[in-house]
Amino acid sequence: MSKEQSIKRRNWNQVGPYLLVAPALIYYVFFWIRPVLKIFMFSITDAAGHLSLENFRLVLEDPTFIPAAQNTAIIVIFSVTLEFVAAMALALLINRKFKGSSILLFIAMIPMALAPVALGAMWKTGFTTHGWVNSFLTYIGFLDIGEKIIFLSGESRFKNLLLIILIDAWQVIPSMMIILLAGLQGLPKEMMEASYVFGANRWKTLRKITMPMLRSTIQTAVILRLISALQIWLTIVMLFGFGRVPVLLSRVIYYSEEVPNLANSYQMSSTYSVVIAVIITIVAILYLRVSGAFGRKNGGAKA
Amino acid sequence: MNLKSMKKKANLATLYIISVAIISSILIPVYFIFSISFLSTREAYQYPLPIFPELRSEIKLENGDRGVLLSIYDKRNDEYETLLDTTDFKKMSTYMRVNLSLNYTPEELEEKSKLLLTQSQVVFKARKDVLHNYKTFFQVTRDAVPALIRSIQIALITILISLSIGGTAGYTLARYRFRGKHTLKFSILFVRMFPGVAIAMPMVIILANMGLYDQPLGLSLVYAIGSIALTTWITTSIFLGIPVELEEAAQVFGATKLRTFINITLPLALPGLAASSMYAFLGAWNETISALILTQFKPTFAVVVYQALYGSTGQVNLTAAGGIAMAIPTLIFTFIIRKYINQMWGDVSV
Amino acid sequence: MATVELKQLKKVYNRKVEAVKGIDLTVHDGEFLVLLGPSGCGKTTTMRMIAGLEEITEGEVLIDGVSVGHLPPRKRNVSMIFQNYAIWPHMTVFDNIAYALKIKKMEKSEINTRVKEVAELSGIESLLDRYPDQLSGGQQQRVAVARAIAVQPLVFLMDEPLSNLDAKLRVQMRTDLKEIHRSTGATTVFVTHDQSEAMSLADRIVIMKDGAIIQIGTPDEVYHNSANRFVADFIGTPPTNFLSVLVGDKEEEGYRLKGDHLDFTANHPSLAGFEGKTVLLGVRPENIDVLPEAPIEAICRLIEPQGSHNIILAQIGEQRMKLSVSPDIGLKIDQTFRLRLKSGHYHFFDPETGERLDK
Repeated sequence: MSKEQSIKRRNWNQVGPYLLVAPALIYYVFFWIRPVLKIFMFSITDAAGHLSLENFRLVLEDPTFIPAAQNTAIIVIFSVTLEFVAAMALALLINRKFKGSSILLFIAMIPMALAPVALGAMWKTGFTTHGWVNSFLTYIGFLDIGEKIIFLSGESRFKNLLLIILIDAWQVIPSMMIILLAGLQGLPKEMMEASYVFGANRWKTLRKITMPMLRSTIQTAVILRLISALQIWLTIVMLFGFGRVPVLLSRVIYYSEEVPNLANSYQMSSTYSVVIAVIITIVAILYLRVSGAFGRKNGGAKA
Repeated sequence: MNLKSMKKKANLATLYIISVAIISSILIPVYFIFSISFLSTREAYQYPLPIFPELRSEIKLENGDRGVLLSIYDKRNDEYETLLDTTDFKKMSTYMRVNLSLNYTPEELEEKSKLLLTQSQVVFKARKDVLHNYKTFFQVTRDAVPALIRSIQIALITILISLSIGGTAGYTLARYRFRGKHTLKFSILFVRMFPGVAIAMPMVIILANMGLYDQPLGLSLVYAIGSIALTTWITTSIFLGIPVELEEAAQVFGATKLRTFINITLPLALPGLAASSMYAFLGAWNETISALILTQFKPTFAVVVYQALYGSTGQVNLTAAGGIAMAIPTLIFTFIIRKYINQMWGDVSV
Repeated sequence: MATVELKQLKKVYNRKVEAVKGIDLTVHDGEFLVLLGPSGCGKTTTMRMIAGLEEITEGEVLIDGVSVGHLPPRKRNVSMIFQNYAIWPHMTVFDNIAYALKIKKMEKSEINTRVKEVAELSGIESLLDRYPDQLSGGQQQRVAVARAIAVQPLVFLMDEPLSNLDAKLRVQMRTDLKEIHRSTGATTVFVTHDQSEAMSLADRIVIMKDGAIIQIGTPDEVYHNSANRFVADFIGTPPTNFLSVLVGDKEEEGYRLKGDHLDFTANHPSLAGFEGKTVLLGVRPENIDVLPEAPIEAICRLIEPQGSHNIILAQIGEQRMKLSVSPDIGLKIDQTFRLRLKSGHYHFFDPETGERLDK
C-alpha cells in the first residue's frame, strides 16, 4: 500500500505539470494550430486548388505591397523607438511615490483601455478640418481665428505617417510606461544607491545598473509592442481609408472585407496573413537575439 | 534655505510639471470627444467647436413672414440667430429635437406661440437634452442594445476561459520544474505573432462546423486564443510573487494541495488575477475585425459602433457619442482594477 | 511525543546532484536536535524530507516507528516554523493560528481556548486581531511559533527560524524557544548555520557537510572532541587554531614536536606511529596559557577586547593563532610573549584527511 502511494506521489510530480498545462496546449492545437495550418494551406494553393507559390508572386507583384511594407516598416521603426524612449524617460522620472501618483497611473491607463473604434472616433472628430484639434489650437492662440490646418487630405506621405505615429504614441506610451514602472519599482533600491555611493553619475547608473537589471521587463514591453505595431491598421483605415496609407494588415482586411468577391480574395488575404506572420516572427526573433533573451535560461535572474 | 532642499524642491516641481503634462495630453483629447458627444448638431457645426456644451438654450419665438419665427441666442455673437419660419409646429418640434437637442412637443410649441397674439415675442430658456446623441445613436443603430448585451457576454466568457486555462498554465509555470518549460513559455509568445484577423478567416469554417458561427461563445473561443497567452504570461508573474513557503506551510498544517490553493494561493492571487482579466476584457470588448468576420446577424457592440462610424463624416457629435458609449465600460473596468497593475507586471519576463 | 528515524535517507536532484547522501539519524523522544552546517550542506533538504515537502529519492523516514515517506505533509503530524515565517498575510493572527485546528474540525470553543493558550505562551495574546503586515519581525516570528505549537504535533521542525531577526532579538528568541521546548517537551529538529545558536539550543548537534553527517554529539562533545578539522574549525568563535608540527621521536616526557618557531614536547598517545610525519595540532583559543616561562615564543599582533576576556592574535613564526586571555595579562601590540598549550586540551588531526588522530 505504502509503496503504491509513494509511486502515486512521485508520478504526480512528474506528470502533474503536464496535466495542468494540457488544457492550454489542447486549446492551441485546436484553435490556433488548426486555423494557422489552414491559412498556410490556402496561401500555397491557387484558385484552381493546385499547390503553387502563385499567391506569393501575386502578393509581391501587388502594386500596393511595396508601399504597404514601406509604411509598416516606417511606422514600426519610428513609433516603437519613440514610444520606448519616451516611456522609459517618463517611467524613470515618476518612479517614486508622490501625492497623486495613483491618479496619474489611472489616467495613464485610459488610452490603453479605449477601443480602437473609440480612438478612431476620437481622432476622426479631432483631425477633420473643422474638428476639435483645430478648435483647441485656436483657443490656446496657436492658430488665428479662422485659420485651419488641413490634417487628413494632405497628399504628403511624410505628414500622414507622422500623424499616425503621433496618434499611436499617444495610445502606447502610457501603457508602456506602466509596464516599465512596475519593473522599476521591483528593483532593489540599494543597487542604484550603491552605484551613486561609488561615484557613478545618473547617466552611468542608468546605463550600467538600472537598464541591465530591467532587461527582462524591457524585453517584454518592447516585444509585445513590436508584435502589435506590426499589426497596426484600424486607426489608419478609420482616418485615411484603405487606399491612402496602406499598411500590411490593412491589405488582409481589404481583401477579406472590402473586395471579398474577387476570384482570389481569400487566397490573397491568407497569403498576406502568412507574409505578415513570417515578418513578425523574423523581427521578434531578431529582436530577442539582439537583446540577448536567448542567452538566459528559464527567464533569467528572477526565475 | 540650503542648496540641497532647494534642489529637492526643484525636483519635485519638475515631477509635478511632467505629471501635469502627461495628464493633460491624455485628458484633453478625451475631454474633447466627451464634450462633443454632448453637443447638439447645431453646436457641432460651429467652428471653433465649443469647449463646453450648452446645458440650456435661450429660444425666441416671433411673428415671422410666413408663420412663427424660431431663433436661438448665440452667445458668441451676442445676438439671436434665426433658424426657421414655419406654421408647422410638428416640423418645428422635429427641427428642435434633431438640431438643437431640445425636446418640445408640437402642442407645447403651439401653446407658447399663442402668447404671440398679445406680445411681440416669446423668450424662454429651454433645457437641452444632453444625452440626445446617445439616445439617437441607440435608436438609429437598431442592434445596439442586443449587441451591447452580447459583447458583455462575450467578454465575460473570454475572461472565464482565459483565467481558467491560462491561469492554470501560469500557476504550473510558476510552481513546477518540468522538461520543456522554457520552450512552452516561449511558444506562448508565438501565438501572438500570427495576426488575429488571419485566424478569424479559417475560424469561420471551424466554428460553423461546431455550430458556433455567429454565436457569442464562438467569438469568445477566438478571443481566448490571444488572451490565454497573455493571461498565462501575466499569471506566471503573479504566482511567482506569492512565496511558495505560504503554500508549504498550509500543507504542513494539514491542508491538501487543492485546499491550499483555495485557502491560500487564490485569495493572495485574486487582485492580480482580477487585473489580468482586464486584458482579456479589453481584448474581447474592443476587438472589431474578427467580430466583423465571425458574425452575421448577431454583431458585437464594437461592430455596431464601427459600422455606424465608418464612412460617416458628417455627424461628429454622433460619432463621439458612439465612441464614448464604446469606451465607458472599459474605463469603469480599468478604474476598478487600477491598483493591481504593479503586481501584474512586476515580474514578467520573456 | 515521538522519535524520528532517518534510514539511508538520500536526495538526488536532476539525477545528478546528490544533496543528501544517504544519512542515518535517530532523534530521540523529546530531544532538541540541531542540524548544523554551512549553506548547501543538505540540512534544509533533510528537514524538508522529514516534513514531506521534498520527495525522498531513497531511504526512509520513520516517525514513531512508522514509515511516512509516502505520506503528504498533512498526514505526518509535524509542524514547522519557516525561515521567513510564512505567516499568511490575508489572515489575522488568530486565523493563522486557528487554520490547522479548523482543518482538523475542532470545536469552535476548543479552538478559541487553544489559540489563547498558545498565544499567551508565545506572548502575542494582544495581537490576535491584527494582520501580519501590522506586526514587527519579532512578533511575526512569535505568531509562527504559536501556530506551530497549537497543532500539538509529534515533531517540531524549525528551518533557520531566527536568521531574519536582528542580533538582540535573536538571542532573546533563543531563550524563549528553549523555554517553550521545555514546557512542551516536543521532539524538535532545528536547522541552522549559526554554530552559537546550535550550541545554546541543542541537546545534540548534528554537523553536516556536503550532504553527509560529519559528527553527532552534545554541544560539549562537538566542541571539545571535534571529530575532524572541519568541525573543529566550524564550531566556536574564534575557531580552533591549527598549527602544523613535525612529530619527533618519543622521549621521556612525550613526543618532541617541532615546527616553525615551535619546539616542545607533548605526551599524546594518538601520536604513536606518526613519528617523522607532519600532523595538525588543533587547540581552542581558551586552552592557551600566557606564562613567562612557557616554551613557545609569540608576538602579539592584534587585541580584540570582549569585556570579559581579550582575543589576542598571536604570531608564531609564519603561523598565526588566536587566543582568549584575561585582560589582566596586559599584553600590548607587537609585544613578544611566551605561551603554553594547556596539557590535555589539544588534539591532533591528520593533515590529509582532516580526521582526528585519537578518534
